[in-house]
Amino acid sequence: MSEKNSWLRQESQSWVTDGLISAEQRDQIVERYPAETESGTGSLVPKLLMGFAAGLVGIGLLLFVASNWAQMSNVVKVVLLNVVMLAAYAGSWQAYRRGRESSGAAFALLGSLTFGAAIFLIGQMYHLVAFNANALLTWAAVTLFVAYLTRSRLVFVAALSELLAYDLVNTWEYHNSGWIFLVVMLLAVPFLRGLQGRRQWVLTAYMVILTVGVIDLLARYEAAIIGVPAYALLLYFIGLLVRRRSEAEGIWLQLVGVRVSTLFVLADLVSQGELTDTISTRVVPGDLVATGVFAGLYVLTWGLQLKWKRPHGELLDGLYFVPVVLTAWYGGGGLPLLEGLLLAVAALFWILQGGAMNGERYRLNNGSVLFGLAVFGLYVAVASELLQGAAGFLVGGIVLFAVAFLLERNRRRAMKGGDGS
Amino acid sequence: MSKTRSLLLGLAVVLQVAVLVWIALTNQRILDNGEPILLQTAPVDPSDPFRGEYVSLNYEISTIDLSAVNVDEGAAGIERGDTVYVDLFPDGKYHKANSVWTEIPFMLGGPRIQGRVEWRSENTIGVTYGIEQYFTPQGRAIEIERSPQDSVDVQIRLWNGSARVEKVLVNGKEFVR
Repeated sequence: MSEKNSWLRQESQSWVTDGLISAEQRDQIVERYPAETESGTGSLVPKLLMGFAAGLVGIGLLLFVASNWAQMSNVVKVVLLNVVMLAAYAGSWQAYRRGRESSGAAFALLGSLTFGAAIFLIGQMYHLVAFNANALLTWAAVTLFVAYLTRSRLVFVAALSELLAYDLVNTWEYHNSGWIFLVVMLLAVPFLRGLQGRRQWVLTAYMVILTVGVIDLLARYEAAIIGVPAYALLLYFIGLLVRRRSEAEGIWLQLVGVRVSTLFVLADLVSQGELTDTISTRVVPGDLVATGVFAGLYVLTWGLQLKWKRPHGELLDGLYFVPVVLTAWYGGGGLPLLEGLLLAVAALFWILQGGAMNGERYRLNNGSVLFGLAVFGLYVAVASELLQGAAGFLVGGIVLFAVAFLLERNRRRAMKGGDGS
Repeated sequence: MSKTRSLLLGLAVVLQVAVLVWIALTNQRILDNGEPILLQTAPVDPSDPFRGEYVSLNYEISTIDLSAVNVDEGAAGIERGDTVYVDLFPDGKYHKANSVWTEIPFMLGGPRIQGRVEWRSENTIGVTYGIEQYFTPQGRAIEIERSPQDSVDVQIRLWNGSARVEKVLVNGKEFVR
């Protein structure tokens, strides 16, 4: 306010000089925006000093606790940890009561982080040896509950991150199955619905973490070769059902399915088939079950699309999953991925065409990215076989430039005449 | 924030305090009421990403030759992940394994410690008792690690089969954290 006032005082003087306004009018205008008063300046200084003092006290306390932590008795340590946690939650409650949502969420996050830290610190105090990842699960479950109560996206994403840490430690360090992770993730669905405002990034975080957990679980049962495409198709199928209620959310979910399978194939390509080779080098019962699930879902997806008379372009989407499965099988068998990638590029082109025909923004934008990625993957596969050195880079650069140009032109044209959905 | 949500948040906070106090109390109870037992150990490799620096303790009773101790009928089928109950007996200043049970026996033996089988190789089993880590302040674990062979002992507290590390002794003197 004070900056505006001094600007106004200077500027208004030149308006009087230029004859735009009279001196009286200038005084009246300036009076409407009072200058910084003694009391105004005075109130700012104590605030700054108080903030500075609070910071100093906080740092002092932290240093005191840190340097005396080893000497403190276990009882004092436990009390101290609880006091910090309670203070954070009390701050959160107060902030929410006063309508300060951001501060409330920040304090709630601090409270849940303190709870997690306290679990590990108490474990350290008693030299506990962990035989499982239940400490992480308890922490994540509590954070999830706090996220639900506060409706905070920030706390929710923290809970998801803790769940992911639980899943990774549980699977890879303790060699347990990830079923509990999946159950808790499903329990989080109602929480997702309760979140308000812009939640697209929260949904994306949820889907990424869910997908990591699912792939973990499938890898554990050696069923990732067809399991991952089956999971991707399941997302696509659920998206199809969701579209009956919400077109945008349904298409988003369908494209998550397409993204998952595309990234799986590309990751396998980058690792030169290592991913599918490592996951399983032989056909196991898990793969057969996943193949059955995939085939059933595939028939159901096509059947429903035909029954609901989806446009021609959308029907073509389903074809995308055929090359994905072929690629996965090729990878698992240790054969080149080139054929699968060629089919993937062709199928993604169909998705793009479908989007262009119906003028759908989501399908066009995502299809463009995925098509570009698949072409890049194809180029890597071809260049590594046929083109060496500078020629490989040169041809690759020209091809990708041309593809990017054509995709963008295609997208712009379609968007002009599309429905913008 | 509605009244119901405030109440539930309060409940969640009380639950968290209860969890922390419960973890602390169950462990403190063992330290307060447990029988002091001295074990011989060989410290190795520190570090834990979540909890900081520690010394990994490998006890004499961590590896048990089943043919050299008393066992019950279930011992032949012991597998990784099984729970076993190990009776200890005093041998000089240390306690050593005397019997290995796959079910809690009715008979009274020496102090009895519960463990989990980590590996098995013919007649030998590797057992963990939840006392294999000792956390130290940053940079201090190496002091224990570099101590001469056979100079590090651990005093544990054993209560109702559960054990907790009470202190680490280097050359008979308590390692002060």
